[in-house]
Amino acid sequence: MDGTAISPLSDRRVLRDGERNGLTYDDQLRELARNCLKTVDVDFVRKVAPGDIVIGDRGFGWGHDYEQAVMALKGAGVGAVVCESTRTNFKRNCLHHGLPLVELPGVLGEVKTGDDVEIDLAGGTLVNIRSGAVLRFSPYPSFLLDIVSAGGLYEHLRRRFQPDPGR
Amino acid sequence: MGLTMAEKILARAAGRARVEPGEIVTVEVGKAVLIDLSFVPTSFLRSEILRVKDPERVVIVFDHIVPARDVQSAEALKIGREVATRLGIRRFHDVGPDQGICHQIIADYGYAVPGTVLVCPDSHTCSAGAFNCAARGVGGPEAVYAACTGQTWFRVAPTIRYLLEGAPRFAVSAKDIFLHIAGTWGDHVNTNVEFTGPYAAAMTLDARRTLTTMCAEISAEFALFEADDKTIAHVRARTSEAFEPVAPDPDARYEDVRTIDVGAIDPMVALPDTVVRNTRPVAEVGDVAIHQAFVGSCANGTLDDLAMAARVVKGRRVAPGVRFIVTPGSQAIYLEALRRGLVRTLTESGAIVTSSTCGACAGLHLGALAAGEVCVTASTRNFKGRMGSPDAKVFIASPATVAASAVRGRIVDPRELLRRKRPARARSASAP
Repeated sequence: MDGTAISPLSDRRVLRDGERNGLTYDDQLRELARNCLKTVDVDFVRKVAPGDIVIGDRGFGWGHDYEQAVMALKGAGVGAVVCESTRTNFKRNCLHHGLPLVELPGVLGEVKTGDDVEIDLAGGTLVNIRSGAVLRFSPYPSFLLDIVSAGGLYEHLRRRFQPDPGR
Repeated sequence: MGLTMAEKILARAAGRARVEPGEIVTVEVGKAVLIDLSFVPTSFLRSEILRVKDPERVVIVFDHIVPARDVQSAEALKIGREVATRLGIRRFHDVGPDQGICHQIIADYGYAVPGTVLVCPDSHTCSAGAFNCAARGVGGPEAVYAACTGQTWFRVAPTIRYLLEGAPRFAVSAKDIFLHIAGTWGDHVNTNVEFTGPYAAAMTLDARRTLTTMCAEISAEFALFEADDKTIAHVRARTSEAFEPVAPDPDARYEDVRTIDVGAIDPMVALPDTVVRNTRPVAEVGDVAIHQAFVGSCANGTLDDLAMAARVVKGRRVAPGVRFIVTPGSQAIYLEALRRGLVRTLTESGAIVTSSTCGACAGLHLGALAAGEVCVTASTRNFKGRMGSPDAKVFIASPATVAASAVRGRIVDPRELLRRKRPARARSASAP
């Protein structure tokens, strides 16, 4: 699935003009979330609960490098993306927005909509609670865990340089 | 089991003996290169550049939106200048004599150091792989992060090795070799590329860089050449940094090894919308009339590229109804092209020579295409809307093919023009 199927091209204006129109980062997330994955399910945004995991196909998020698709997923409350494979730029964008992404060939065959799964990024495992299946992937190094747990590069950097919370 | 060049550089930058494909590794960044777009208002990290790990390892190049195309760009450039001053970044390439397209600047100033890692928020950063430098485009905020912390991360990818053999036919260049690769093998997603073999060694540094730059179009991770005497002499003359190039181990593990006889390649053209499995010899393109021709960008803005364009158009006129735009890769190249009379030759033929910028290649602020227009370009990419309207058609070719097409008003084989007018010079120029 390419990036524009996750978040439509027509929503590019949110990023392009967002700051000029006084939209904060969180405003942009909310705005982009409205049309997230509508190509798959028009009710996706209504159905998704915070922390839900999106399971993606091969090349999930491919296309020209831009952050919109990632922000739409994050804005919709998606907690992680697990996919058969992805493009490097999409993966990098996910992580620097604090959205964990795991490439796990075979995941589509092991996880069905509605399953409860547990992902251990540091340990490199995904457990399907329903079936008991355990899938393994290359663990995240601590450097990346720090970025993801901070909520993305922006927060991570800000905490590092401005220890005093709040802007 | 031995290591490929990319594996060796990543292992070294991660402080480890070896790395394996599939692993995610944290690495020290040798150079973080920021560009003008790093400071546009939509990049929400800009105000967070509070300090950098080491100002000597940060470079700022203004290239995409210079001279400022509008007020928003002007504000971004202003922020960039303030950041450069505040953080004490000496390697700052603002509008003026040492400005240029970032990958040309990275090459010409020796910022691409063999055996090290370089990141930049532009897609074509793999360009610096011509200098045995593991360089890759990353997200805008990520490049800022690398500048601030001196670190980034990569997932180690498997490698495909190309062995380049033979000598190219007259008027066939690195661009044609790339288009042959993209057409034959398609994309190289999540894969590194290594170029080796006798012709790789014979290529000029500029030609190598055309090849590595274009590897962004086949989605390669890193595209690397070995560092030979040419590379080492070039970099030594430009940096006081100590460096140690890497070479692949004889028993390195490759996903595939592909041999190319470059002598079997004709001038090639990519058809509109993608280069991936979408290229063919110019003779098979058919009759395509053009509105615009372009030579420039980080891939084809070198002095050799300008010289080839000038040689093709010398004593001829750009066809009526065709705009021929030429953009040198840097202002230093512009100046040298001026000294050698290339700018005059091009301008007399009806071409226009612009200041150094990504403008026309990226459809940003000059040379944009209208719906229904056709362009043949010696630049980097041709996806829908890249150079302007999504309803324009963009063909990619070498500088020679583009210049010849500008003269004829339709896409033609450059050997038609070069041979017919001056066969003696054409023959002598066929040596590598």
